[in-house]
Parts: sequence; structure tokens; C-alpha cells
Amino acid sequence: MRCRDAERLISRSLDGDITAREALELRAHLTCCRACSVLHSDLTRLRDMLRRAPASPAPTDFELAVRQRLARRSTPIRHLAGNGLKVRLAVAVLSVVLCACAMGVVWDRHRQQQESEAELADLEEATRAQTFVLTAYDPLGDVALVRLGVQEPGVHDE
Amino acid sequence: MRVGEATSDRDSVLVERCREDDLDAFDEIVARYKDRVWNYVRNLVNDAEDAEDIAQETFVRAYLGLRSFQSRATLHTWLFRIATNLCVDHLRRRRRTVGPIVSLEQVRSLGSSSEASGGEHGDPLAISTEHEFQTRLREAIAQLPDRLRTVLVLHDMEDMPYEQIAAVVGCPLGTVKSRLFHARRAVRQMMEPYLRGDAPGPARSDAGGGP
Repeated sequence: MRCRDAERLISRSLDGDITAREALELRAHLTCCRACSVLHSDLTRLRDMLRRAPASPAPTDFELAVRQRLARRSTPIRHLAGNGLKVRLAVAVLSVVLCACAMGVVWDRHRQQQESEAELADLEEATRAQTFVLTAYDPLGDVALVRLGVQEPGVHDE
Repeated sequence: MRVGEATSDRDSVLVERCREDDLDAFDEIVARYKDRVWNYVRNLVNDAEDAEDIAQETFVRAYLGLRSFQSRATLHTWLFRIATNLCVDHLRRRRRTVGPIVSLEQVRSLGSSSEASGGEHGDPLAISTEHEFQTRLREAIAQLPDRLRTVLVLHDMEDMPYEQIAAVVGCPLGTVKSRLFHARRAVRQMMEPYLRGDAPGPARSDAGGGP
């Protein structure tokens, strides 16, 4: 057995996590390897010291401090949840009312937008019909030649 | 006292009552586990004030999360898992603001340099009482990386079996054994001057040596 394998076995042997065969091999190795033998005694001593480490009780008023901390963290919804069906029903009704209001607002805005678009289209049509262009004038003639007509915006006669 | 793997009947009753917002049941859970949680957190976090804060927070988180608690795990395991996560988060935050993570190599070199200088904490031969030895031992454990310290404290101080540690830490069984071995070896290296101080025979020169 190599020392590297023995070291891991020593650790596991402290916890009783070792087979009978492994225990025999480890014992044989320890009898002839001083370094691993010292490691075994050191780890055993440290393990025992850790197990004997004094435990201290929790600070006084620990429970009270926990309750106060919990009270600060608990949300109103959580407290309400304990009242059962009535609260859940009220929350459901409130949700439905809010949804209905939201849908009404959306429908109203949609209707207003449609009306605005229709007004804009009418206005454009009226503007197009009222575009009259003066196309020619003879300053020497007795008769002013004036042509009046409807023209698309942005297009001028020569 | 080694806690059984199955959730005790009393714990099951208390958990169910807590789920119905029975705060008296919650008080009983706190009373049953406060000393164990406190000691565990205290062994992971050196500062007493921080430890108290984390121990309290452990129970608050447990209460607020009881609806998601699955009875497959024991209440003991679940509480220690919450405490472990809080401790690790706390130590990470603290390390970001205070200093870098202490690696295993640094821990080893700390033990070696301490040995070479005859001990930074005084004459090893003078440290003979168990109380003093315990103090040095706690200091050595505090130097371990989180993942090693957690497993060592859970196993050797809280007397928790491998399987339960694996559930608390969230790692495979083999990893628990491996971490335990590395933690013990690192602590032994740091404690070597004190171990040799009253140990019979001369200190060995090479920990990994041998035939």
C-alpha cells in the first residue's frame, strides 16, 4: 500500500467507513510506516478534540429576536391569506373588476383613434378639391386668360 | 446527539402547523433547533454578531419557505442547508470587501511557516491545556476554505453522517469524503507545531513520506 492511499484510508477509518480487508491492509502499512502512523495518531487526536469542542447555547432572547425579525418580513398578503375563502373571493372579484375597467379603457381609445383617422381622411379630400391654380395672364390683351382648375398638390402647369 | 435520517413525528406535526400560520409551532421549532443552528453558524462564521444575525435569518427563511419544504428531507437537514447557504454567502460578501479567498495552498504554507518559525502564537511547548489547544484548533479551522470547513464542522463537530452532509452541502458522497480528508490534513498541517509540542518523539520531516 502506498502512503497516498493509506492517508485517505486513515481519514475514512476515523469514521468507521472502512472494510475489514482495508483495515487489515492499513494496519500492516502502519506497522512499517512511521509517517503514516504519526498521521493516524494526529488525525485521531484532532478528531477527538473537535468532538469535545465546547458548545455554547444560543444567545438569550433568541426566539424573541427571530419573531421580531419575522414580523418585519411578513407581508400583509400573507396575513390575509390565513382568512381563507372570503379573502380569496374578494381578491378574485377585484381582479375581474380591474380587468373589465382596463378593457373598457382600451376599447374607448381604439374607438377615438378610428374617429380621428376618418376625420383626417375627410380633411385631406376637402383640401385636394379646393386647390385652384392661376396658370396664365396676358397684360396686353383685353381679355385676361385665366384658367381655373383642380390640380394635385405639388404639380404645377407650365 | 446524532439526528435520525427520517423526519421525527414531532417535526412533521410542527411543520404542518407552521404551514397553517401557527406561530406557536414555529416557536417550538426555534426552541428545538436554535442551539444546534447557533453552534454550527458560530463555527463557520467567526464574528458573534454576524453569527447571531445569520442564525436568526435561518429560521425566518425556513418559516417563509415552509410551503416549499418537502418532507423527503429532515427538518434538521433543511435548516442546516439554509444556514450553510447563508454562511457561504456571508463569507463571500465579506471576502469581497475584506480580502481574497484563502486557498488550500496558502493554508498549507501558513502551517509550514508557523512551524518553521517555532509558532507565531507563542511557544508550542507552553500550549499544553486543552482550552488553549481548542483555541488554536478553531483558528486553524477558520483558515480553511469554505467548502472544506463546512464539511469538517458538520462531520466532526455536529456529528453528522456523510449522507446528511451530502444533502446539506449539495454534493456527492465521494466529494464529502474527499473534502473531509483534505480538511483534516490541512488542519493537521497547521496544528503540527502544537501537536508536536507535547507529543512523544521528534516531529517527522515529511508528512507524505514513508515506504
